[in-house]
Amino acid sequence: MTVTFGHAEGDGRAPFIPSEEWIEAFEAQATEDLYLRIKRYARARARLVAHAGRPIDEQYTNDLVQDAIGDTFDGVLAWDPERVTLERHLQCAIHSRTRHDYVHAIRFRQERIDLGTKKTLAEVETTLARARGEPEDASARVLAALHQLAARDPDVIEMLRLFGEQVIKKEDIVRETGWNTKRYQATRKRMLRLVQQLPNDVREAAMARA
Amino acid sequence: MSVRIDMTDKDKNVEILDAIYQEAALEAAEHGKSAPEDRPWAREVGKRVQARLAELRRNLVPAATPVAQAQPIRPSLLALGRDALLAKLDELIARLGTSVQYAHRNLEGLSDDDLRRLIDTLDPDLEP
Repeated sequence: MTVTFGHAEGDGRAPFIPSEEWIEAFEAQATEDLYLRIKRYARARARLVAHAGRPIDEQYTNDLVQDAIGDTFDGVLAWDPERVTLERHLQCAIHSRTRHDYVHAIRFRQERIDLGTKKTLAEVETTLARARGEPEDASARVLAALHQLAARDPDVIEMLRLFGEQVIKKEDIVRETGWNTKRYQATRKRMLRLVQQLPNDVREAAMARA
Repeated sequence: MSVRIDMTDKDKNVEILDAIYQEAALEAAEHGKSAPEDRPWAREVGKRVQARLAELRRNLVPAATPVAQAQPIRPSLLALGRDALLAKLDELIARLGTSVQYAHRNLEGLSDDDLRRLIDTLDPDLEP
């Protein structure tokens, strides 16, 4: 097993020299348990990228964590120990990277050409999905299946709708819906359970690659 | 305050899936189970992190101060022989009293120039 952290050498930037307090804060929070938690977080986030059709393996998950740590050491990602924990900082870095990779993979997929038909793969998939009477976009297929599962759960449907409106934080959802914390947490739990219950052909198409 | 922007259905799908997987990832971090191969990987990461922290600490240690070039010996001291230098040193010690401290107990080991520099250090107000 090779674990490396990227070194931003020769990129013209001034070398990052953190304070002794910064180093101490990093050392105090960087435990083996933290790495395990971050790895679990990264593995779940990697599944999002798999939805866009990008092949995802264990190395991709490892890279997510190692790059986040390496970029922090190099000062590419600024971490202020007084404002946020190291765990939250690394989660934000991985969130940002996976979201970028997801959007990039969707765009790339639109542009890949199937040499046999001279059509883009997206066009081929759209044609096949249309023939099957399914939503044409891979993400839409996942969400359609999720909505179907949640048909008798109006709170989960409402949560998904709010996500689509970029109302994502707990406090914003609670304010929009008037739910109390208990109802929010119960809805969140049911939603996550439904993700696990997605039909195999929908879920595994994305997650098996993760 | 959050600002909402009109989005296409595809954009909305991205937002919804991103939010779902964010929640799933937070849940996995908090309550999920690690794969057996994660522990040796975590140990390896820990070692690499410790090495980088040590490297960052080393970078904090100030660079060695450059060696200062010795000043030329004053002509008034250059004119004195060894006996005169030792007498001057005795006189200085008597004048400055207990405030004078120097490391050399046995002055026989010092050259004439060493003695001149010692006097120069002890009495910077000496005539040029």
